[in-house]
Amino acid sequence: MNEIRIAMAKGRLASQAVKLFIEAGINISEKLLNSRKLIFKVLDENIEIILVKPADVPIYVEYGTADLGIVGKDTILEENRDLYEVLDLGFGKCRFALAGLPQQKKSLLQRKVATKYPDFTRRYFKSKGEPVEIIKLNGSIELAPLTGLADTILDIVQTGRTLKENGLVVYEEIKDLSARLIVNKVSMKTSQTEISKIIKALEKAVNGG
Amino acid sequence: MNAFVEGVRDILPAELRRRRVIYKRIRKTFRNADYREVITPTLESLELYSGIEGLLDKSEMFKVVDENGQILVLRPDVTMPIARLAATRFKKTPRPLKFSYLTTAYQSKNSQSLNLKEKTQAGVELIGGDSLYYDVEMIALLIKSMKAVQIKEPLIDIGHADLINKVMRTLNIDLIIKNKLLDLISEKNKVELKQYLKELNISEQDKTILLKLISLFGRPKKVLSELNEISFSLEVKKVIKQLEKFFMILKELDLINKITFDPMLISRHGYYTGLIFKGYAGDHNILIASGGRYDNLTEKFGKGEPAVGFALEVENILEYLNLTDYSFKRKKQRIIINYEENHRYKEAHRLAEFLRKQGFIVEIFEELKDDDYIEFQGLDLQILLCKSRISIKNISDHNTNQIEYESLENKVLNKILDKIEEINR
Repeated sequence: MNEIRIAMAKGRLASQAVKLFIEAGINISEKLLNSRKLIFKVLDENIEIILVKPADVPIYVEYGTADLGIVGKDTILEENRDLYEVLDLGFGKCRFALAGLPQQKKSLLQRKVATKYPDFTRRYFKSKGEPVEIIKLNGSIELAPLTGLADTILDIVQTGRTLKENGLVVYEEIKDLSARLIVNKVSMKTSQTEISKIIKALEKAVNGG
Repeated sequence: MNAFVEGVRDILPAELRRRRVIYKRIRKTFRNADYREVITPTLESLELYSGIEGLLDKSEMFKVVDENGQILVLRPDVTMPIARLAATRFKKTPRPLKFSYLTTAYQSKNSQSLNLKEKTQAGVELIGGDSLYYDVEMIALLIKSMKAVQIKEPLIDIGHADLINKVMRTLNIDLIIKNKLLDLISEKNKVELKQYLKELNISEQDKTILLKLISLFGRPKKVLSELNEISFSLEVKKVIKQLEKFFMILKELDLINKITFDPMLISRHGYYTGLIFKGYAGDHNILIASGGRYDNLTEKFGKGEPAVGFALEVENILEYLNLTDYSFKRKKQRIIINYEENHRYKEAHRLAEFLRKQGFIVEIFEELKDDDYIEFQGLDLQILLCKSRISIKNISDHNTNQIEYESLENKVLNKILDKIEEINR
């Protein structure tokens, strides 16, 4: 029996993931959420959980250091790694959207887009054939159009409240997002029995037992 | 000056020693199956690699411009040059051609975890044969090669390009849609596939087939029986029948327990036309080799013919061996001779020459070398010539053997050799 290592994105996604695992009958102690430890063994199961920054989950999984990973689709799209994406876990729902000030300037030669997701933004506009200047920011993206740093932002939108409170509107919805289960391509084959068991249990829990 | 280039590195003596063992074992395995080694040029024309759908992105190749302005590339893979060789210089020789290679390939980006730009690949190509038995030979040879380099649990994942290609053909869809579907299928992305299919104008039955296929893989027997329950077109059914026979032969050869079957295994190399396979080290989740059948590739050079081959990634094998802490058993043969007094130099020299003749690697020093030096050089035995005795120390366990002597006559030399052989036993 191979041990399965699961990388989880620290923060909100991890606590929802733990809940889902418990529903699926895999007994992960909720203690791990409040601990400073980064590695946890799951008693009775051949499972180890590691907690890492969201953007690092796909990296751990691509390299095979973790066999499975739980992370938002936004991160998967930005990291663009070579891995299997097998399950929509149904939580962490939001969407990628383009937004900006209500009166979009049509006469621009080239759009300036501020985003936390520069790589996805580059690929998105490339596929549309529109040249843009991409400005990578690390937070408070909404500030960019307000201060004139950029005219458009590409960001995740959940309820739209932050946009509204800052006087911004959605120009275009790009993609629905949610937490996903990702799998290392080699592990999927070499530890198929163990991994399939986990996928099936989680799938059942997602679909309401 | 910063003379450091990212993605390439020096190979130092300790690693090279290990590599030589791997090279030797791989070469022996290939040679025993009568694959003859060739070396193709490091520089190839860009045209050789262009125009092959899905082979390699041009941006991932290293380009060089020659004095005539022609663009050359540092060979990004070895299959193409060998296909060229077969279709040109060996156009009229009897088939099948069986070639092997062990050389470097250059890519500016690759998806494997080892981020090297210069990779060592060892592989075979069998050109001019399309029998199912050649496919079997490839799988058997790959397993044998993996075992030869001490991979404990070789696992071969097998797919077939025709399966997905023929399924796609019956769908009658645009290339862009086809590529998007292939991307999703290769990611096993059931979630997104489901969503994407909603917008597609294909029959419900085809949608169900695609959704079933995407999560179907594992032991050949189980996968085949599930495939047989799906209502495919006759064309696809023919491919499945062929695969059934293929797995049956592997079973007869007692290889089936090392095989998994993924009908939707899609390779980055778009030139594969039939069998596709990947070799993994099952106990450490490392990709060791990949290969497949490429029946259309040589057509480009004026002689279309069936071909099949695979390549082992030597750096990945080394990574695996580092993880398993495996050291190849070898004779203790690196010896350092220290002598105590000036007048013993002549005898130390004589002993060294005597041992070298026996095939040992010997160095001589007057002063006693410390452990740091001995460890760095990877020495096995230390022989100390004192005034009236010789001591032979085994570095790994610090055991010492003593031999009394007056002068280094033949009898004493043979005694030393006996002691060394005793240690080696």
